[in-house]
Amino acid sequence: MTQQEKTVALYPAKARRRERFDRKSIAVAEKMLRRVEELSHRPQALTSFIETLSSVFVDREDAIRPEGMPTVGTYCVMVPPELIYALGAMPVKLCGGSYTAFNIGDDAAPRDACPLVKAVMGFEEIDAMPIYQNCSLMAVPVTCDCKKKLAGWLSERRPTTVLHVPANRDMDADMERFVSELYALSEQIGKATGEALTYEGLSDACRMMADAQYELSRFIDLRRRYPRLIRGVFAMAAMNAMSYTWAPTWTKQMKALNDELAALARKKQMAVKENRPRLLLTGSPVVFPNFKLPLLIEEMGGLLAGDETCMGERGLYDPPAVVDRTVDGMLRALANRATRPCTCPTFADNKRRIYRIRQLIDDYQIQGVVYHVLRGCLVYDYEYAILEEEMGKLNIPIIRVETDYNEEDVEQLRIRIEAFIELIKYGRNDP
Amino acid sequence: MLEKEAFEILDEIEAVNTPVQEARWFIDMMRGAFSDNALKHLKPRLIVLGEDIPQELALALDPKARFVLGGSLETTHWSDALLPRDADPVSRSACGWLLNPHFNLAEDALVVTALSSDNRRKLVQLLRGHGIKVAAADMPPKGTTRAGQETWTQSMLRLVDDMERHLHTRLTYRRLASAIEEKRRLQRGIAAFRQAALAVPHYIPAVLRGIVIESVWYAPDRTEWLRQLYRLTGELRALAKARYVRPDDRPHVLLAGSPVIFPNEKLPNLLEASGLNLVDRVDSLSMQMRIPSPQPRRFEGVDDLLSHIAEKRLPWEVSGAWTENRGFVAAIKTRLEKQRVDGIVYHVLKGQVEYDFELPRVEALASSLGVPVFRLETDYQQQDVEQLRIRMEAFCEMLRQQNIEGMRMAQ
Amino acid sequence: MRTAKGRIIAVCIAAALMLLAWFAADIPFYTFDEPLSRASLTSVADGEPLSFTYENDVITLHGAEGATVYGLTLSGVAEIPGGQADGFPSDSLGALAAVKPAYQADTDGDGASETVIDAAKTDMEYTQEYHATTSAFLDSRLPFEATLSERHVFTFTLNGAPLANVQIQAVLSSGETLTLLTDKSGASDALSINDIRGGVQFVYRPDNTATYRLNYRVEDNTVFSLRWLSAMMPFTLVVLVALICIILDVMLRKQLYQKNDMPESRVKITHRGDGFRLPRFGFELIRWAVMIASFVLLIWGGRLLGSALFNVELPVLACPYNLDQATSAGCYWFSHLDVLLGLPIAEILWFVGSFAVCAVLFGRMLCGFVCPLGFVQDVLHQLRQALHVEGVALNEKLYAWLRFIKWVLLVLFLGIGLVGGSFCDFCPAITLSPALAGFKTSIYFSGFVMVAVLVSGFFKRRCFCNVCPMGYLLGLPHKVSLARLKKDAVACTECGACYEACPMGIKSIFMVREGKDERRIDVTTADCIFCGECIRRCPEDGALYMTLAGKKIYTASRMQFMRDYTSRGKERSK
Repeated sequence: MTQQEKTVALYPAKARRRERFDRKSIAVAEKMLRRVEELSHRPQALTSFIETLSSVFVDREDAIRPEGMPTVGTYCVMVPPELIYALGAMPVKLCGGSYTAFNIGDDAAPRDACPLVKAVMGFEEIDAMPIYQNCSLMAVPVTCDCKKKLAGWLSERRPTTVLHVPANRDMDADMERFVSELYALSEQIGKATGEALTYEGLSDACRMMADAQYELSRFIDLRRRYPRLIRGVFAMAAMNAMSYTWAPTWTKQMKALNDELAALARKKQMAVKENRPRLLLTGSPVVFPNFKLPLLIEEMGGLLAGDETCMGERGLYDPPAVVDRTVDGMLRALANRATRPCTCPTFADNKRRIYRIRQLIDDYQIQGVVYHVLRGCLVYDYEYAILEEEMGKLNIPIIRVETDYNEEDVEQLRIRIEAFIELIKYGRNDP
Repeated sequence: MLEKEAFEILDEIEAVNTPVQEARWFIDMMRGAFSDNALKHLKPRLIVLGEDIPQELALALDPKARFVLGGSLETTHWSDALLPRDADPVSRSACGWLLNPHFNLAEDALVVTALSSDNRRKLVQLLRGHGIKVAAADMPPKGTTRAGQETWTQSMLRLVDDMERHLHTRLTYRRLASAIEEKRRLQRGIAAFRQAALAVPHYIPAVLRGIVIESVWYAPDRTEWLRQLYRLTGELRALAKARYVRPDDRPHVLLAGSPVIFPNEKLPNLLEASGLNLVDRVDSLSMQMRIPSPQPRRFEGVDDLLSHIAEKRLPWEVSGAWTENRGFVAAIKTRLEKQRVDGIVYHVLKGQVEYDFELPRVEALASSLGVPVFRLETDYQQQDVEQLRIRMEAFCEMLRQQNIEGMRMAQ
Repeated sequence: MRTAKGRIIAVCIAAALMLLAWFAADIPFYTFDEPLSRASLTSVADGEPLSFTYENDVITLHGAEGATVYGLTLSGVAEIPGGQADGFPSDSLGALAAVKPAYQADTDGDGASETVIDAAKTDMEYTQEYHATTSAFLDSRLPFEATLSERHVFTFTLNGAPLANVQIQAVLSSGETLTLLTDKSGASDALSINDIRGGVQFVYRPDNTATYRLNYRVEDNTVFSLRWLSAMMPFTLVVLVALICIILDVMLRKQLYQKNDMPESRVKITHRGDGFRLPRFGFELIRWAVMIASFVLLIWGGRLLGSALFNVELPVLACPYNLDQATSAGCYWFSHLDVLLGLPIAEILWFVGSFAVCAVLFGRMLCGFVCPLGFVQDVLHQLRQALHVEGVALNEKLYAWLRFIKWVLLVLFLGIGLVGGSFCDFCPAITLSPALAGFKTSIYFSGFVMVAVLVSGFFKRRCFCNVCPMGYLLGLPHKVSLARLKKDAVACTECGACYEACPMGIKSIFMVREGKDERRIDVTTADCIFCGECIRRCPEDGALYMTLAGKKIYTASRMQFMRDYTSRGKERSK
């Protein structure tokens, strides 16, 4: 009897719950993927990304990677993927987006905890996602309160490393302490993979990620020059898929996408019409299958032209600037990259986010901002007031959309977003 | 205004509390600290936001430092527009204390705080955005490891640098050592007072007991305060000897979780009204006066002394900064084992999700010792008082039944 | 230095540096024997034309039959008996002359014989001090004399009176004959340094009754010869000592890391190349090209080009003891302010003028592009990168200490000349430039300083530039300089790469956000050497850029950044 069969035999209730989870989560994932595929002007090259998402969320397979390579679960962009690759493991970003897992986690987690964390707890409880279960190590940076507590909760159940992200990231002494945390992390990963940190390994890993970032930069460059070239939902699907894809594979897939888009651009074939409002999505992360908001934006007549969320473009945007070609130099570069340009609102000083959004507005000719707040995500909520003021100065309409991991508020959101898009399209009605 | 809210509570207590003379001093002192007039003219040079910065550190540099802990409903109204809906009331209140149209406490001040939670971090951002000088200390995620304690010490040293620069004073070893000594004396006095007060609960109810202890945070002269406390303790002891003290058979409860901060005495009042005897509290505020302090050694530097403080303090500190609030759970365990505790009222303020995360651990611990836990979620508003009282009374009944059962079983 | 301990250490360092600078001349690193004591004179009657030649430290007078040899001393002209000397007295001025008795011969080919006086004169190398001036005999025993000044100006005198507006023939060692016309003070600058290196024969015929011939030779600083190798000894020694220190440091570090259980890979020296890449045309390549060209010109320029711009005083650490530089070095005057103020007003103005022009036109771009000591440090940095040896942790504390040492050195640089010391005995540049050009310069405490510069420059990029007083002075007028560093604060993501890359540790490029025009904030500081590393490492389009006279010469580009980092051999389609 397999473990699963044994479980089914011994705990029928658990088995039923497991079966429900499977059914529901597959249904949600399939539905979301269908909605993504149904949007017009889908590039051919997007298929491989959708297949990855399907394999992880519908077929429930583990990440496809070289034989025998262990995986390390990361819970934030602040864990440098280069370091994990350097030690012979593959990073998988396990921030939870599953509604079904969220429902399960709801029991284990406090009511007001953020849905991302609840979904992760749900994954742990349900034991049905190989991509989660097969991780040899969990690396959790201590950023927001919920993630902090998640780190404690996870350490009781799995091998977990907690990273203390420096609050004063601009102070050199604190940054150097973070470097020592990364060394500690590398040791932990090394135990799981049996490899040691070497210059060659790090150098190769940085190169590997640099290739991926190169393709992303090409992508961004194309979108800057032709903001209407591709729908934002497709971009989001590609970026989300990256969390579960072996880097060189993703690079290849992205290259194919870029080549296709470049060809389209040359022929001036745009995905949407000229007058379609260009929106920027910023705020709490949008994790597959919670594509509710981006899909609504695209379906209600807007173009998701820019995205400032950490499971989206921001997940791979900043490159490490290796100025010193030594092991320590590279780790410093990774530590810097992980924290300094990061626009996560868990930092007390987060002015750089405003500048970043302003630059995005310029780059993609944004006409409106959709501020996404997950219910329970306090830090993004705090920053809304600041951003509202800034957008007021630039005379750009902004809307705060609070949502949760369920389908109940879809209709309400639809109406609001439709109204917002109309507002931009036909100009403001000054009373 | 704030004065109204504070005075209301104090008047109420005073009205009920006639026999204990010495307590009057404390009530008057609190009146002084919270009067509108005082707040208008008070311009402290150092403001400590929150209870997780070691008080002895701040007081060693500026004995007149003012502590802003939150606690007032009125202040939450003032900051309503600035904070998101789900921000917790303590942060709302703290924000209101510092940013309001009625008084400007932070005018000349450096606000010192620890980045122990999301609310605190964003509050710091908000305050800085409004031009208030804030020095914020980074908190490590674990207080029990050497690395965490070292990080904490470095953070505190940096804070000391900022304070020194703003106050134009130097923190010497002697100053810090004497501040630690003072804190120790205060802790001893408070312990003695608690014991004496618990012996005569009908003369000095839990609310007044809590306010007296909390008043140390606002005392302009702590030596005087301690003297008064000993006099009060003496009076209570005399009362216990002289008068007949009925044994208190109300269910003994432990209040754990989010802190109760003056003037929001909603919860202690509620517990009293429901017939419960609040015997102890385990929260971030009350634990500050129970955390052990190191013994200053000769020929040490300030850095060494701070590391010793870290060693002693951090494992016991109740803070949202830790990934696992071990000290919190351990403190509850000690109390369950050493005192009579019939039930735990687990207080969670809306938005303080860190305590909700600890609840499963506390529940597991309590159930292993056969103690029921009652989760109570509320905020500073008064609207839910009635509802809560009904629930509390039910809990009280349940505990009483349990007690009777227990006694019957014992027989 | 906020702690008491820090302050005490700072005071100790300052005191130590000042003491060492004061006593620098008494702390020898590698000294050559006094030129006067190591030189010797031999006269050989070999039938050759009368001339002096040098072989290492041995001066040979050829064709010495009947010649009388004189030496010039402080107290006047003294005859050297027998034309042989085993060392020269300490009051000797390093000038020797040999005269043959007059004889009759027909040298001008007019059929009539005239009186011919053959003479030879020589100046030893050490007389070619900074602003080389040599001494004139002005003695009746040497009627026709040529005195060399500024290394290429000859002043001709006959019987002590300057020969104004006359024609003099000059026969170079190559056989070429030139006719010089002297000016009203008897001087001619038509010959270049290279022309006279092999010796030159002057022939003066006032009328057809007399011919004066003078063979002039100045001791040459050779390159790629045995003499050169011995001149290179101090520098070679410095490099060896530095190498030993570096190796020791790496070994010690390895031990320390092993003890503290740190990953072994941090101290392993790997030879893993990052592959050879054809350098692409860009700012970096241009900078290296200019640095190499400056290095060559500032060390061997005089030899290669044959002339030098003596009036241009480049304010970089190109040592004035090397007289073969393409231009002069201004560092001497800054460190010897008392001497500067004693010069004629025209010279002072030239100096101030050329410094101001350099500082305003280029500012510290000279540090990043021209200074030879800077080039050496950049080479060291590349060496460390190639070996992947871990350097020093770069943080605010380190830069605070370096800044402190800079102030101390600045005080020493400007002040020590005024109290009787000389910065040249302390300055590291003196070990580099003169030695490579073949000048035998004795090195005192500078040798140790240079070892420190090399070792620190290996582990920290351009470490000396952080403390260089000359650099600081160049950076003072940065507000009016034409070279500027600008930032677009909105494009900047505050990633800190620029700060990590900056060899001068300038944090403001990373932190500054406010400015009149957010998209064009001027972040030029007094420390910036315009090496362009910050721009090279900036991953955001246009977030940092360098302008010269308002024109953008180097801008940060994301795609360029990405291309520099990705795998080789892949064709990047646009």
